[in-house]
Amino acid sequence: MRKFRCKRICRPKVTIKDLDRRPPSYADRWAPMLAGNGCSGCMACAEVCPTGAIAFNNSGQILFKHDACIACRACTDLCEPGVLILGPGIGGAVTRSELSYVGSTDKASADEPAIRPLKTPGPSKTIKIFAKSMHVREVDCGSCNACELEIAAISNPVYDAERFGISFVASPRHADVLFVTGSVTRQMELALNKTMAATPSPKLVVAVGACACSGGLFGNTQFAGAGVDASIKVDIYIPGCPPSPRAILSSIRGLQRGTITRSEHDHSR
Amino acid sequence: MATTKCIRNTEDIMRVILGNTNEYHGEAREIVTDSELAFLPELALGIVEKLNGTLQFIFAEDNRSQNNAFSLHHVFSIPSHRCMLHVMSEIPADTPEFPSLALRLPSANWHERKIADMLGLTPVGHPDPRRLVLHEDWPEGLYPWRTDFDQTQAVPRVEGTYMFHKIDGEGVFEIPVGPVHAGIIEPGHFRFSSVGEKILYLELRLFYKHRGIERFMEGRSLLEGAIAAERISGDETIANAVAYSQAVERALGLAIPERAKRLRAVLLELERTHCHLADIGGAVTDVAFAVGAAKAAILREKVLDLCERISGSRFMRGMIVPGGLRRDLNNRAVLQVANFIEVELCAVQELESSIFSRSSIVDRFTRTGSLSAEHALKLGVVGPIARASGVPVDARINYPYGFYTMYPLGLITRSEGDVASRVKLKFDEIRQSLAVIKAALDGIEQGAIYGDDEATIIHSQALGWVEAPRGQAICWVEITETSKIAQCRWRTPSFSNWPALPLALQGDIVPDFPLVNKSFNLSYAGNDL
Ligand code: SF4
Ligand code: SF4
Repeated sequence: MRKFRCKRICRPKVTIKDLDRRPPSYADRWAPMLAGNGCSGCMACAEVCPTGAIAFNNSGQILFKHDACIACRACTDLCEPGVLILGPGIGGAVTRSELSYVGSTDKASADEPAIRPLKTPGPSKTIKIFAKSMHVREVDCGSCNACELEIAAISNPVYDAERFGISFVASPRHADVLFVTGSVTRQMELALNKTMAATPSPKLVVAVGACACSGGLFGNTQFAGAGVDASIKVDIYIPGCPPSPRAILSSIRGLQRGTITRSEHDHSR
Repeated sequence: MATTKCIRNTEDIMRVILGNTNEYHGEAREIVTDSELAFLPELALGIVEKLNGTLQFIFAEDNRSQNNAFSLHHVFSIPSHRCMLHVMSEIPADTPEFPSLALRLPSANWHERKIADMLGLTPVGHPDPRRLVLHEDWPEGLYPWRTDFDQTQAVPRVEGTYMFHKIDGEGVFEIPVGPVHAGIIEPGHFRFSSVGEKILYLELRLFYKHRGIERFMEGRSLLEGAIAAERISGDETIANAVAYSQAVERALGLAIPERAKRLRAVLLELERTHCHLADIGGAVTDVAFAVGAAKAAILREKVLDLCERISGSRFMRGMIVPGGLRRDLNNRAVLQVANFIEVELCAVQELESSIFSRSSIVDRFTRTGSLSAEHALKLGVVGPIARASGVPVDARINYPYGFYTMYPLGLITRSEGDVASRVKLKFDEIRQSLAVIKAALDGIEQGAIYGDDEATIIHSQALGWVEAPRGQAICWVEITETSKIAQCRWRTPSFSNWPALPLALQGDIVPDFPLVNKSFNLSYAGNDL
């Protein structure tokens, strides 16, 4: 019998190989990183950051919290020595602490990443269960709708998530995975808890976007919450504001196979 | 902009409007005047009936620390005089109430309920005094926009029920839908009362996504304000940022360079293109035309890809700032946009003919979700929805700003007001947008993209407006002496247009709801703020 080759027929723009090997495009460079020596320690970036995603610790090291970064580019625009540039960030993580990095200026060179993870991530058991098939229900809990649009975009013909076994379902009762966006507003918290209760176990919760990971720009007030993990347990964090469809797909793919796709950092800009 | 003291009747208004020659760079004007609470109903009706104005926006602020009063602002747009009329009045702190306009001018309805929720000012004579923004579990007597509201306190959840309107009669049943919907869409609750399949009445319950953005903006720097405006509604990133920036520019008297004006128009129209393509894709998905939906999605993806290449962000975030642009488009990017237009134009044409050559689609689209011009006018509907019903409103033409003061844009309207006319109108607007981009790039010259850094505050407050993909968005900012945002209020197009959705659905069947809703394509995030 002849083998059916979908790739030959529709030639999707982003192939499976692309997702694994494709160098980060400009839009994948969404989070700040240090590119080389020369940080004068002026702390201008930490002052301007509207979400506190950049901080300096006591020993003068720069700390990046990618769960909170909304990619507004205020810090990189302001950096006088020009060593703070937009980097590829990280695709996804299974704990929130993995989204924080200590940036070191002294170690930076072309072949060594300028930013290092604090902890090496590992896949959880539940993630492996859904390695080849994920039925996803999306729950919006107070996003700006850009995260929704990007999630909807992964099932369009260009990204075509169905070829990785990822499909969207209309009810939480059919779902394995909840994609939650937004910081969980006061008036959506009840609906989120009910949706969570309606989803059969085993299930995964994926927090998509800065709002969902940390509360983002508007979070931590009486109306907008501090992220999804303040209400329900989160299994996968995908940072970004919004994460591009490519970033969402490659994070999910990486996590499905138990490897986190963390792009190699290149300094060529 | 000038302040004239206390207007009391329509003759006063004419005097104010005609006597005000203070133009702002050839742009439409904002005229600020004072009035008294008791005259408001008469004034508002006079403006609407005699001057053909529209009530656009009502908002209030807490000024009790300065003059022991709340101030109430009514914004009318008067197309015949190309101006926004901004009427301010004071509400004494000891009698926190104001006369409601909602019975006579239905467009005032939601605005007044929002003021009642957030500031605790009672609209006297309002036909529907239920809560709007705050849901029933918010305690009585706590008003988040008052200056004495403690933003760090924990607000308890209290028991309460929202009283939905009850439709009685034999065979009438209710269908509750939401807030979590079946597709990848935002949350909101809809309650249909229907007989069989026919919708008798639809009640909306929104504001699940209320994030407190207007309160959030208080005390922020001007740059942070732009960053926050970009995140009000994702697919209106540029539009909201431009509305906010124009308000700040008016307040500071900042003139922006011509290159920035042209590039802003390019970004605004690119945004309109991808937003409309998403709508068209959504509408054909709901009539199960998967091929058309896929084609629209691919076209939209191409626009987003272009946006990413020229700005570094698919939604063009981080581009707009008060005073101009945050980053320039280099020559290569300009060329990419120009080349793209030619290709896109053909593809859009092809998509349109493939949709409207299928009788099953035309059949579902025609006479579905009809909104009459009369209803649209009364409710103050804006944007493509109003234009598809034959109401000639377009902020780019009626109240021009930036590049649109130099470019003669033709008004596109249709008369039927149904889904088909909304979809067709969006195709026309995409073509128009591509033409605007072409014109904006044609005469573009190298130069600065950012005006003067040194600005002096000439007005402490100003309005800014823009024609967003969904219609006119209005932003009001008040600026402190230290160049921080003192207060900021928003009237997004979705806030004006949501109340029209139930009217468009009357007499339709329940399965048509997704289609009509998609053709309206309203933002929940932009509405809930
Ligand atoms: S890009 Fe914006 S949010 Fe992210 S670290 Fe820089 S200033 Fe903070
Ligand atoms: S993370 Fe950014 S894009 Fe996503 S919902 Fe929040 S503000 Fe919008």
